Amino acid sequence: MGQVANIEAETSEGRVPKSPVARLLLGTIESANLILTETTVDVESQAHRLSALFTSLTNSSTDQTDRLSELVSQIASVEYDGGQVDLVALPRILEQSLEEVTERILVLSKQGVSLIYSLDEILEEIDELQSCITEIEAINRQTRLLSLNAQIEAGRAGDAGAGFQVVSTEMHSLSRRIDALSEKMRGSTAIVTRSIKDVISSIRTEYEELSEIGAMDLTQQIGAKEHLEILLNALVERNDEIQDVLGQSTDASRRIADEIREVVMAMQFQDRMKQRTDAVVRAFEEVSNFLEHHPDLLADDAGCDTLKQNILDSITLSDVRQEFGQRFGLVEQTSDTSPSGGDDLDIELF
Amino acid sequence: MEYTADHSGDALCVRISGVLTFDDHGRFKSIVDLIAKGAESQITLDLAQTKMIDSAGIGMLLLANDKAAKELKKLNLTGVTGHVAKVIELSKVDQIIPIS
Repeated sequence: MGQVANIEAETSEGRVPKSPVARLLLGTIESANLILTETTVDVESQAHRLSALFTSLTNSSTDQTDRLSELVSQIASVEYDGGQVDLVALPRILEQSLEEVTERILVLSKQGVSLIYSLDEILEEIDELQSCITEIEAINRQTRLLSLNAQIEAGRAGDAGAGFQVVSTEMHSLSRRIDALSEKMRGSTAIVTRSIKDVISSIRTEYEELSEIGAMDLTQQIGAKEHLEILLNALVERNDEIQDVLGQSTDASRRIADEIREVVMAMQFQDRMKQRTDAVVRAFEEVSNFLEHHPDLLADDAGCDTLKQNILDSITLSDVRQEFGQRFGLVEQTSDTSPSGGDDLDIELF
Repeated sequence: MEYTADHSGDALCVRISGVLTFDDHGRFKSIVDLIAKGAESQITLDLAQTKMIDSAGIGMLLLANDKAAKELKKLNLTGVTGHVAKVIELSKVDQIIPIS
């Protein structure tokens, strides 16, 4: 009360003079308030910046996860002819093609040998036919000899043998025609035999040429099949390894994204800190206003009670208000005293 | 290619040695005739002494099998090893002719 009584004259226009203590308090509170406000703004700015960075990081990580997932799905197959072809199935497709080629070679081989066997049988029949022709020619030679003898005997018989002369002459003529026919048959069989032997020779040449390129002894096919099996196993193994690594990478990216989201959530402390700081700032402003406008009431109980109430009324955050109320000796009746409870704790998420 | 034939009751066993290639089709015809004209209904082609076989040789085995089937006889292969086994596996002959 003594300090109040020693109020010095203030030169400020229309203002109530303040005691040194009031000026000291006023300066301290205003400075503290200014620093707190600047700090809050700074923290808020930095927190928003960090939040934006983390959100961007989360998006990048999510994109990376999506890309990895796409890579996992794409790496194992290629698009072909409007469909997806599994790369692991490629050696199997090649192996099937090889089997088809081998199967056709075998069919050709079997048909080639079968054809040769058939041609051999035909050649045997032609040999038989040529033997028959030889036999016919022998018989014909005897027939011609007989007809010649008959002509001689008919000549010796004179007029009585005239008719027999005509018959023997016709027999001789027939014998010449048979000779011509057998000669023609021999020529035809020779042509057929030569043609068949040419075909057999041609087949043999084809086999030899195929053998030279390794198609007939199947050595190349066996080698190719073994290489394909090795390749197939290696591809399957490598594919499994890649899928495994990519799967692990996808999981890691997903975990990173989740952890960044948790960091962003954790950074919401800034919002709560801002609300609490704002409450303190408002309390300081009330004190500051009081000191500014009613420094004369500083020593008055009623005035202080009014200030206490003004301070409490300015604070909307329940737990802060309760803290102040307890310090002021005014017990706050509140149903929810938890720091995170109450409508006034509605924290805006980033 | 060389071969020997053992007749035992209803079974005929033909042991083929050396290499079985296109050049042997003439001699193999004798084996086919044995199968077709013989009285035995159980035919075994023993390839234990066969060192090498080409696609024509496989074709001849298939022909022999066809001929046996036509005569209602059963043909099987035995002694399949080495190169011959690989060719038979590759050509899937084992799915056509039983191997014992």
